[in-house]
Amino acid sequence: MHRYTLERTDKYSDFMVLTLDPATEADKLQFTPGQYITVGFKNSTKTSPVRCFSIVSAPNENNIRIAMRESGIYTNKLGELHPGTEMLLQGPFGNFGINHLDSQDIVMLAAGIGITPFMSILRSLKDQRLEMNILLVYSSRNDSGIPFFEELQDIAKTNPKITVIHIATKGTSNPSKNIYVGRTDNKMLSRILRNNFQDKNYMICGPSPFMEDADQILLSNSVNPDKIQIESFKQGNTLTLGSSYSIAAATYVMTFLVLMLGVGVVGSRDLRHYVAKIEAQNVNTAPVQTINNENENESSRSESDYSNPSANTTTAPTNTSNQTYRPPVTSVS
Amino acid sequence: MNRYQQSGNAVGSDIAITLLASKSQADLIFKELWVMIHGFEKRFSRFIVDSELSKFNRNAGSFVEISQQFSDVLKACIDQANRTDGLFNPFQLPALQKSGYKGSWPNVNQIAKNMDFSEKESNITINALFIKNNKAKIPKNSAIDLGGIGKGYLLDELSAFLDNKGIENYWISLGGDIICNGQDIDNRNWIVGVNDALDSRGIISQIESKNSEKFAIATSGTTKRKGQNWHHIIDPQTSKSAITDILTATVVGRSAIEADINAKAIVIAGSKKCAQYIKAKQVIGALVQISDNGNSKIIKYGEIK
Repeated sequence: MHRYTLERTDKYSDFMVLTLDPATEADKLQFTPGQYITVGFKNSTKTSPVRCFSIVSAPNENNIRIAMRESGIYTNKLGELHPGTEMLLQGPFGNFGINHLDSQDIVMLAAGIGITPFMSILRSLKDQRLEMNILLVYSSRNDSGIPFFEELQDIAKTNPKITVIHIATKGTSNPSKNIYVGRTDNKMLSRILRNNFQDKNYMICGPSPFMEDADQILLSNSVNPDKIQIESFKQGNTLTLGSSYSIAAATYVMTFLVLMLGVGVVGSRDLRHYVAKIEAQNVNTAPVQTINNENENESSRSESDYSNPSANTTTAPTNTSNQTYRPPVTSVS
Repeated sequence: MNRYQQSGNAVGSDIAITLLASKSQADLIFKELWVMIHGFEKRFSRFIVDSELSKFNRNAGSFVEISQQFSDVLKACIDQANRTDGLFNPFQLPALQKSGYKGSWPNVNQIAKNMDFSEKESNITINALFIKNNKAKIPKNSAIDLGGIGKGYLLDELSAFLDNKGIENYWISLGGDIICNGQDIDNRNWIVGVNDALDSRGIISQIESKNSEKFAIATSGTTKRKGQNWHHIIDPQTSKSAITDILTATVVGRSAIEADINAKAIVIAGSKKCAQYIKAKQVIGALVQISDNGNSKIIKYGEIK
């Protein structure tokens, strides 16, 4: 467990960034760009449940930053925390990242808040002399309020080997800022890559349907599955997706299992109760708990454009509320 | 009574279970269903090194002691292989691995050495599978995969469990293979959407249950779990990925196992021979999506209108 304190919370139109400082030098967490951590916090004498978040900052920065949409009970609670709150971090986990020994060009496909691991990677590469070209294709709902837009522009401007293209579902195309309106579908990717999908390494991170679609597009264009890395926080899917990262998947699942076995599971109904208790500030110490979402699209991988009511887990199934009831659909699995 | 739905991931698939029950009953039943599902995966996964299936394959050539459930699935394999005149054949694991599908999707190339059977034979008929009391044996130079039958078998088991518990209204989806019984909360029949093979968000048809009767739907196809020059449906006649113009086949069946196997057999048969198969095997209904010069064409058979 690494003890950090919340230095500040920066809120933007559609997301927020938490900056965390290590409590001591010994608490400082070492990581490689693209990895993720679990984050919990202390309120009074109580320890909160933990959630997984990709690290947004680069390893050479003194503090750790994580980003998320403020769209659920847990992230709302994170957004309300005061500077100085004790934060408990575990990790790092995962192997999502670039292979510096491979000089082939890299295409990064991100959607929504799935940009987070790429931010850490790109920040760490900003001032480096790169052999390969890196293209980030970043899908967002709107042409405005894109997370980290200015910083991405700055990274692309600083490093000639890095290109950023924004695909916005709604809005107006602005070629001078590399913003194009449309969907990240086969047609769009074919145009961007000029129909040349080969001899590249691909990295995908975003909501599950986005990742599944992107994976399918690449495979249908004869991309070798070994050339595709997929990062997912959905425990079940992490096992079944992720063309080249079973180790990352296994690590995450192990993390999940260890937390589950050690501390039990609460559903979101329990969480709501729990959060209410924190607010009342009259509770005793509770064990760390791992959340199993119910109807919460708040994880650092979710975006309503691609929202999927079913959060898949390897060990704990998810309850679906009536509002997000999913009717039966038969398909090839 | 309310409608409850849980979803999760196991047996390499997204799973959704919906049932009408009281809260306390639903909680208890969901728990038991997930235990059954994870237990099944642990026993029958070809990607788990110490699964009963993996151990069975490693001991090919000898009679191996097997569990009752394993024995039941092997017997179902024999039934289905005979019923489909060999279009279903569990001995295709070496061919499947040879084609490129070794590891758990999508890490298809990653597999432990003692789980790689790609050098073994696939050209083996169901007659080479022997079951004797609580033991079974396959030829030394062979290995079986129960992926083609497992989901259907498990769905039928889960459905039978719910029936025994007195749950009358439910549907379960294992990776898009579905079994439905009874009705929805508003007394309407269950309606199952059929996914467009070319657009993961698209629905090309809807199939409605009749008079609240139990029915199963399975879809098989070549549009997923595929790589360069291969897909996961192996034609036992060639021991290679089936050469077919069918993108997906959706089949309605009396049981999930029957629907599942028929869907695969129809894909293998291709558009020219599938009508013959559907008629000969008395398939209740089928919807076939075909690739036609880059466009897709939908053909409906039997009770699917």
